[in-house]
Amino acid sequence: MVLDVDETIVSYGDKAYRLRAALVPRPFLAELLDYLSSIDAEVILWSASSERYMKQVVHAIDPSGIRISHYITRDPIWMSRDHFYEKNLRWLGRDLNDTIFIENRAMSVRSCNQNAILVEDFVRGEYMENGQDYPQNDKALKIICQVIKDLETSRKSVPAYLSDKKVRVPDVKEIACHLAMRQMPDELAVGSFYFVGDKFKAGATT
Amino acid sequence: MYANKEKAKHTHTEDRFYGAKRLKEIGTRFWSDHAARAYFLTMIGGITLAYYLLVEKQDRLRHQQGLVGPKERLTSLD
Repeated sequence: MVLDVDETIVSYGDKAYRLRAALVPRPFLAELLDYLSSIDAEVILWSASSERYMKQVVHAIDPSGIRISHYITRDPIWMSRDHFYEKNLRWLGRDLNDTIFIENRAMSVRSCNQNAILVEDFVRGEYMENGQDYPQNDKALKIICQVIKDLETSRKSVPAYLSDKKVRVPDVKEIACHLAMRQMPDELAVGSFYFVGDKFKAGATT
Repeated sequence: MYANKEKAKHTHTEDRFYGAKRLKEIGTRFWSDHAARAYFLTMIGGITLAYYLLVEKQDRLRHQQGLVGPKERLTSLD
């Protein structure tokens, strides 16, 4: 299980509010991590943040050190310095049939979209007028947890499970690659992105 | 300043480049010694080679094992 960090499982607000430091975890994050550690899953955090920040996040969401197996931070060995950097699951050296990636940025998972589920950006509500975190009534991680349970019972590989509309959790929707990202070149726009919530307009599969 | 009042130290000098001149002297003496030169340059070359081999090995291992290394089994807490 590979998880992105910022705006996916936690939110730190924006720079203007750093003085009032608070790391807000996404709803159902604890339940998801507890479930993953109960099934002995390997949990990897993969973020473009600095290592110092990542250590703070790991300390906050996993103080006992048993939920997170590895973390990957900003490093020139995988990250380019432009906005087109990607996170390719093939670089992890794990079996792609057993690997699932939770991300909020479609561009990052363009090379492993068969294994990725996109979620809405989780943004801390402190700098909004209503003070509520966005999205409201966020159940994305609960759905992800349901997906993991389904994957366990169905004994299917991740790409096969996600591509099968009859088997997968109904909350997981799909959108054709070229509709999700207009600037994506044709040779990369293969297949579709899977997403949860209202990130894209549902049902646009052609 | 105060300790040196009325040139109390017998090694006192007004030459502000005294240290630099001594350093240059030592350097010249060092580089004129054939063995010292060979030793120093061999050390630099050796360290560079060792660093290159280390980086090359790291790259090869990363290519084989991926970004996070081999899979670890979680050990139970008790």
